[in-house]
Amino acid sequence: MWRRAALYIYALVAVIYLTLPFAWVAAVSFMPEREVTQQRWWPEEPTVGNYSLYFDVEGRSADVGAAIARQFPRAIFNSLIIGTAVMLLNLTCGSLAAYALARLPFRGNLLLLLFYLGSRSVPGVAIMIPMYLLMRSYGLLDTHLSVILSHTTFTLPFTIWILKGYFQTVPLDLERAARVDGCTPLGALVRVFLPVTTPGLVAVGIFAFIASWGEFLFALLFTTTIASRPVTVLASDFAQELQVPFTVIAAGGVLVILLPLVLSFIFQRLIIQGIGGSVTG
Amino acid sequence: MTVIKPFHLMARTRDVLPLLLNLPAVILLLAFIAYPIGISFWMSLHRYNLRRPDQVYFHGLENYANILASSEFWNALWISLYFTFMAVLLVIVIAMAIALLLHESFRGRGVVRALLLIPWAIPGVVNGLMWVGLLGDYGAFNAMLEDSVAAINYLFGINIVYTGMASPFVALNAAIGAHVWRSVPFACIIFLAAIQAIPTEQYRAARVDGATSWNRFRFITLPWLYHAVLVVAIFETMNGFRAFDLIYALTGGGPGDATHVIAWQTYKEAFARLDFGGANAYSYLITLITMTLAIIYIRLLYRRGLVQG
Amino acid sequence: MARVRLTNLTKHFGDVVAVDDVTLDIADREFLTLLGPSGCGKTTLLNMIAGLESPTSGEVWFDDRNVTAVPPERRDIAMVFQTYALYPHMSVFDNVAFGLKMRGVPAEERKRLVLAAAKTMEIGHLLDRKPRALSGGQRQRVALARAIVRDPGVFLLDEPLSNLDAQLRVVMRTELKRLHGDLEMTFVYVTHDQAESLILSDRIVVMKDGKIQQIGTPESIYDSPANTFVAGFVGSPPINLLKGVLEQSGSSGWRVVGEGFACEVATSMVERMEQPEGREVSLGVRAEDIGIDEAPSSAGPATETGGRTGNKDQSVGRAEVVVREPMGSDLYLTVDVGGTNVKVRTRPDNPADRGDVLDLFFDPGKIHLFDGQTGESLIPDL
Repeated sequence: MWRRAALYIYALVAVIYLTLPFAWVAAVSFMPEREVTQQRWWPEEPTVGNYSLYFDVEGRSADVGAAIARQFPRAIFNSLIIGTAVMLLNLTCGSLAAYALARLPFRGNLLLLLFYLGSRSVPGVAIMIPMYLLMRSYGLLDTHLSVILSHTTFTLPFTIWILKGYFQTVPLDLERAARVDGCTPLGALVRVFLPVTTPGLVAVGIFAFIASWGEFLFALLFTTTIASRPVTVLASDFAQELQVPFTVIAAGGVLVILLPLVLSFIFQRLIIQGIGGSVTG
Repeated sequence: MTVIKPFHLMARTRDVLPLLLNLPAVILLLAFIAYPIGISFWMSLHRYNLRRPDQVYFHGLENYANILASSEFWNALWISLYFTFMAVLLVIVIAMAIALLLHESFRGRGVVRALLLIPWAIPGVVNGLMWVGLLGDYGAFNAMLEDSVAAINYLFGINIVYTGMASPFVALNAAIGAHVWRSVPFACIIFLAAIQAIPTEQYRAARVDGATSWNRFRFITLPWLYHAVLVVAIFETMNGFRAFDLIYALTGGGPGDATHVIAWQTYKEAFARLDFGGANAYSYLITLITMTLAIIYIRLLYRRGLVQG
Repeated sequence: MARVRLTNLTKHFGDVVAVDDVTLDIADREFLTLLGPSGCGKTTLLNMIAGLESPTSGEVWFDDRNVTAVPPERRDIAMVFQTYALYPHMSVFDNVAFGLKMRGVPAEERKRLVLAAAKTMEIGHLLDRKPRALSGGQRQRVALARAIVRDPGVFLLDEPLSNLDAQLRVVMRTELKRLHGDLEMTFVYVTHDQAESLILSDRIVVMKDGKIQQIGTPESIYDSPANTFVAGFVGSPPINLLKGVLEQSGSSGWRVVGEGFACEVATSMVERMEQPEGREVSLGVRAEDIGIDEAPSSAGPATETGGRTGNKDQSVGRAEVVVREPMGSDLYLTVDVGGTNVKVRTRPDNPADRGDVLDLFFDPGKIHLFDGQTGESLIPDL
């Protein structure tokens, strides 16, 4: 009995820890500006005024921060393009490499694995200058491609690592059965291996997408205009503008978070099983 | 084609397909990680300031010597070490606590599990902005902190002046707290998977042997989680040293140089001072530090025989 | 329908020789079992017949066709895997139909064949389910249905019963025997369970360390094992092996003398040996071929299984009972013969118990002699 009660209190503490910071910001995003200064937890007179700034561009153009807010839809579009491309590149390059590492014994596989692990341990700031110069020399600055390439390279090692672990959990006999049943090697891959590993592929795909959506440093360096600027960079622009009320910033933050949040809710089971199992497995 | 390759480099035919499958990934990583790392090293040996583009020349290890002699570097290094150490420690403890909770069966566990991913889904910059609000003058957490400081002052009859994010101590630890908050879910996922992999017979056997719940945790759960803890430590050490976006949004390195972590310092060298040579030397030092730590961890994994080739 | 021939088949994995120069002729519609402990190369051999592994050297022939380089999808085979390898993302129906679909069988025909196979394996009520919703025995039936539905020439089974519990294993064993009777296919069956191999096979191939130890019918493998390994591996409980030395007894007879026993052997066993005198041998005798007197002190008729009546001069020695194991229809006694444990099968009503000292009688027609060093049988094949 006491144990039960303690468990629920424990669970409550965990829930508060995980949600409170975001819950407060979400609440603030519905507050009129003056309520924030009263250090409230809950909007007394809820309003969507903070959000309308982002969508009613014409009507609110005189408001502080409107210049940034009006770029939001376009920035979200940029982030979507970049995130989707990063996801697809991760899935194709990653699953090919992981399949080879998990299934085909070959010389140098350990070396490759170490190369991937090593790549993962290079911090972004360590290569930002050469990357910047590289992108500049190829004329890729302020394009989606520059951000896509940089995001892909720092998510790919992780993707390969996870997928390799995930692929190894699939019994080899499944593909063998498919071969005996009349599939070519490629047929066995497409008709049996890929469908069976879909949960893992979805998990790493979502993972790469969310990582790209949230990345900041390279996005900040490579993009200069709204032609390619993703939402994270736009959100940080608020941090520079001192006059923007925090309620508006909060609404922007909620807008940025919305998509990854929804994705992580939908796919939470896959992500938790796919990622967790492969990392420790 | 009369190039003579060393024998061991010649690929056998059965090695060709797997290597081919790895090619796209390898090319990407070589082009955008290995090559930049090389360039970075080359540049770090040069005097290369964008303000004086006409004066680019090789000067060996001088950038390194300058950095190692500068108090800014040592300050940044210590802050980063403190930041990383605290972050790794707190992430492991909190994530473990939540993972153990999620392993228990109770009504509403699914809800907690679904909420677990919230902090992880929030981009670092937005996380920073969020905590700016929470800890700012009107922030909910700021109010709580103010009240608790007041309560402590009253109880102990002392007079601590609480200045919020203007205090270096508060700013640095708040940054750590915000960083940890966002890092907990990932670590928790790994711990949860590892806990679920522990055979339940082990616990039954320990029960029969008369082990208390603490002893069961100490002698079964923890040893089984050794691998997972090391993996999390590797990830979090790397993440700690590269913490940038959060600092950018939350403190901007301030107040003063209180949150000048090494990644921030590097960014400043490069894009505020435009000293690319010096900044690259900085980057190289960060890479070396993280690599060294990673190698130590990986050796620990190997020693336990937990990584198979 | 197919005859399978393997010629000098060898498979190396790096430095490990998994299969070493195997030549084997499997007759059409034969039930052939590859028997051996784990790691003996039997599964590798099966995989080479399937085309899932390519041999390092040697050839695989199906009838008059050299299939050594033919990939599995173009060999006329079906296979049942130890783990069943059912496709988890497909229903039972789709699992069974998959092979037909891959071979371009039209949908109508496919349905008819799947239903027929499902009927044979009694899984008609499961066709809509996913594999994860099935019990172990049901999965096994689906795996068999998937294999028989295509009516292949060669049917390969890799330890198909080893993941089932003991009772189900007995049921499925009978089922397999029935299947082989009904279907006109060649069965190649891999197992490490000697009882399965004895019950199911037309012929057994006993393997160890990648090499064939003996090929023969279950009877010949059981009754005249080629070496101590085969003798010890086939039969339960394992054959009793006693170390001893051959020596002349009387004018014309021979006997094996070892620690705690002395056993007469038929002259016919010895006469073709060169220099039998003093030769070190292992004497093998199965539990059911050992007789004991009913009880050490009883006056009843001292007879036992094995056909020979024992009297005191034919006793090979006296031995103390160490363990008594009643098994329902039989009773097994473990006795100590000069430090070696020997298992004896006797009637369940035998009162002998731990501590009793008994006279042992070996059935002279059922003893086996093996070379003391090489373990090869010294009895010429008849």
